[in-house]
Amino acid sequence: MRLYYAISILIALGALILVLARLDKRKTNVRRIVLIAVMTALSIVSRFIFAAVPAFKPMAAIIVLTGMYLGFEAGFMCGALTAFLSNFYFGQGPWTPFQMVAFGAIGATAAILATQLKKRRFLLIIYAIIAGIFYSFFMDIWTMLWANNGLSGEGYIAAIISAVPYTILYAASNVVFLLLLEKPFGKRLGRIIHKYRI
Amino acid sequence: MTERLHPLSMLIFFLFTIILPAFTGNPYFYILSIIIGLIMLFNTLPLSNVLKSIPGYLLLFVLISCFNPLFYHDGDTILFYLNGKRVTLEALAYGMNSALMVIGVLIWCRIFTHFYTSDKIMYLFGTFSPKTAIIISMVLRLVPLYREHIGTYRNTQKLLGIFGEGTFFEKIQAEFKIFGGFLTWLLEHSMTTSDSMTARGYGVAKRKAYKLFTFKLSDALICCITAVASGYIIYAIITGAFSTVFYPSLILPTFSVKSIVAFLLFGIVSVTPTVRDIIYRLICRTTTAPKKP
Repeated sequence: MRLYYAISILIALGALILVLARLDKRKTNVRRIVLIAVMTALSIVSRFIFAAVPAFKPMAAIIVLTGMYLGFEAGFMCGALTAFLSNFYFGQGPWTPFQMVAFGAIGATAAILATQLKKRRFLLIIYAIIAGIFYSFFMDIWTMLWANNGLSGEGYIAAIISAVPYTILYAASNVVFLLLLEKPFGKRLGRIIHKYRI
Repeated sequence: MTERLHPLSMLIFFLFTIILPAFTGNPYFYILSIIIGLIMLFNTLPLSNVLKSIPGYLLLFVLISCFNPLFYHDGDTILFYLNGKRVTLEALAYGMNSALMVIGVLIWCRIFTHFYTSDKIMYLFGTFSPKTAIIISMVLRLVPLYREHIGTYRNTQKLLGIFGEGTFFEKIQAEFKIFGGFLTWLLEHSMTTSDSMTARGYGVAKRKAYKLFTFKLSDALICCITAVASGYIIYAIITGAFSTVFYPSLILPTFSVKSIVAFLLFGIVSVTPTVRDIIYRLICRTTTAPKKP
């Protein structure tokens, strides 16, 4: 039973290392690399600003915007590194690999859907809600493995039910911050991308 | 002293102490790992810092222990009924076992965060993914810079009388104005940084990491000993030396030669850094303390 717990951590870590090593092979513009670092730092700072409020944080929104405007690689890296590096300030633990995978997936998916998300506002809202629910459900897998009896449907449902307020907060914060930040970010990032031909 | 080890051997040591106990499912193993972890924590962090976190660990222990019997009702020994559902001793024991594991992992993760500083992470990432390493190093620099810069922006706006007055809605608007200005500055600043990097030849040749650490004989020794110990413990797990049966009725694990050897191996390997640290400190005290004339 304990095996699931340890193996799941190892799988998450292995997947991350594989993806990062693959992304490293691709040739990337220097400016793009710097922009990834900047957006990652910004989302970590946003976690600091909202440190007092539980679960209501603009991190996921910034990661989604990074994915939308800077592409697949940037979205994944920004998500994974935000979780990894901010946990050095907020507490590292066995949840770190799971958070990295979840945030990385949210950023990368936003990059795949970028053209649609930029065009229609309501799609962005739907994506924000789905991203919040996905993050919560993904972390519930970890809760189930951590505190309960390994893999079991009953335990998973119990974990989901006990995390419902968090799920709502995640989805709500994603919607609020994406709606608030989409315009200023889009305008400025678009200008930078146009001006410096990234 | 532990700071001078190679990042790879340190990572192997921490994987051994963090992940391996979770495989065993044995309460005695968890207690051993918690005791050794606490000794190391007391040895490395300030006393008040560690004492402050102990109530948190106890609270977590109680919470996780109670969580399991509330949701699982298997087991033969019924303690009492709650809302018509039975609360069993076995489920409680299972919860306590999980709680011990979780606390052990948390303690060792705390030690890991203390010792595994950014230079070691950078080194480790630099060997397999230089691009990630450079992004990490930039982020580590940018986070304090941005936090400082946002403060400067806010103070300037306050001085101009734009921020800090008016209704809640106006305050939020002012906050957004600051954020917009900050965002523009940050993006332009990043472009300056990237131009500067290009001018200095970033991306011209294959990027290599600066070798801050060397893999010494002691590192090889640590890796070998840890590998042998974990190999034996995994062998003991597979042959069922640690097996604890919770359902339908609780059977606590018995000690055998195999499990005692595994306990000893885990104890010796995980306590070694602390012992070395204490011995070093004693030697330093006896040699450097000035003698009274």
